[in-house]
Amino acid sequence: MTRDRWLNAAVLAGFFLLWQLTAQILESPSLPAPTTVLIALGQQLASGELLYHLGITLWRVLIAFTVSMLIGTCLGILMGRYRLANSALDGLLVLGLNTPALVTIILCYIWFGLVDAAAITAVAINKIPTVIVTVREGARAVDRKLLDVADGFRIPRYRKLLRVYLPQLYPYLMAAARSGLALIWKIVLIVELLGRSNGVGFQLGTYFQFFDITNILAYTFAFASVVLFVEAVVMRPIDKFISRWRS
Amino acid sequence: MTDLAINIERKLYPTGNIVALKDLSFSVESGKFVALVGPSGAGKTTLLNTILGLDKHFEGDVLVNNQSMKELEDYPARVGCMFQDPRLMPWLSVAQNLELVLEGRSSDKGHIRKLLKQVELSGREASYPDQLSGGMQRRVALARAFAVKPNLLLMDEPFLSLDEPSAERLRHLLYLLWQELRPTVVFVTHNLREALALADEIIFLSASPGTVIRRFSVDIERPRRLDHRRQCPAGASVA
Repeated sequence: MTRDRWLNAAVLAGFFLLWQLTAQILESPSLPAPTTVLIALGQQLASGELLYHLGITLWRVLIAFTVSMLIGTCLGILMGRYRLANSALDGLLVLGLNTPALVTIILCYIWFGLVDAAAITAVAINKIPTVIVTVREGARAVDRKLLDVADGFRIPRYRKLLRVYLPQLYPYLMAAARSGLALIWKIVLIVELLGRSNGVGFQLGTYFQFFDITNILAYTFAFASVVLFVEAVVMRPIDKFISRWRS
Repeated sequence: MTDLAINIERKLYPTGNIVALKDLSFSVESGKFVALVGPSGAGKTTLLNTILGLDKHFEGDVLVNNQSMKELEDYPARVGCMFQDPRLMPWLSVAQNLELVLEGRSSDKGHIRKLLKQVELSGREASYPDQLSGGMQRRVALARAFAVKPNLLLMDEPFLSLDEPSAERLRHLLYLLWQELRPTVVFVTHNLREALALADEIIFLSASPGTVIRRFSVDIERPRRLDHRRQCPAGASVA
């Protein structure tokens, strides 16, 4: 383990120790100790309830993330590549970027009903503009000279796309994916809180009604663990793979 | 075998109304090595991009084997090219950069190994361009240009900004590779000595707008080496 990792682990351990000591001194139901939260987490896991709601939330995150990245990437490339498309869509993009998430969520629920399709649509509408902005910058930064090499050698279009064009966009797609996931985690919980009858957001809302801070923190623990797991097992290896050529 | 016939009546630069090339016409016989020499801004790169098919906005025609490349979807020749900078894909290894321009057949691997050996880069197949020196990157670009077994090779000042020993070495490698396949070559340079060292014929372009002002046959036996004391290849004389 490197010195940086030791430092990181020491700070985290110090945080939990401080939390434990403060909770023991205050003995307040508003601040349960980390050990109490871990016991509640164990109970939630054993009952299967937490896994069910976490699974539902992850499924919504996955669908919303995939839809946002696909649509956002296509539109971002279009707007970065063609000035006319950029001029036509830029106003809508600015509108999308600045519309509060809450407004989109409420409107989707009113128009489409309290269903999963409305929830996912609301999340995607919130996320797509930020993907577009990042990918558009990437498309503008594409090195025309490298595309000329592909054209000069008459490389077929699909190979040009996969081996010359997209690799130039990978850093931007990675940035869009990372920031996208961070935003989607948060919005999905709000969407579930406002209009779904399952998922982590719904559970947090229910525990809020009872001021059950221990279980709110237990769900937060579980959710944060999943986020860290996805970062370590999915995002970092992909990032490492696509930037392996950098010296 | 590839014959080339260029007839450009007028070519404007994409920005504005400045004429880049005007009444420019010449032809190149199959298998010949032609050097285009002219001052900076004469439109040499523009001309090469036009022949390469990267720029089709011009008045006139470029005939490759008597077929107009403007009217054809498929270029009527196997083209290899080399630019002023190596333009290797930095995310692809040396071997992958060569594979990129090939069809992806299993026999390509042996062909790539052979080419890399010819340009003295054996054992660097897995290296990325950033791990190579400038001269080595040019050698990869040279190998890539010959990887497609071109019958038409277009080169735009490919050894620009290299130190003289490196450039000399690359010119020698180019000569060896060209001898093996004998593609028709159009080689842009502003270095007359380089043109004399490599070409069968030198075409001189005027300052902007570029047009042909003189053609000169180089009747010197190959291989030629630059004689630095004489400022031109040994035995060369301008008619």
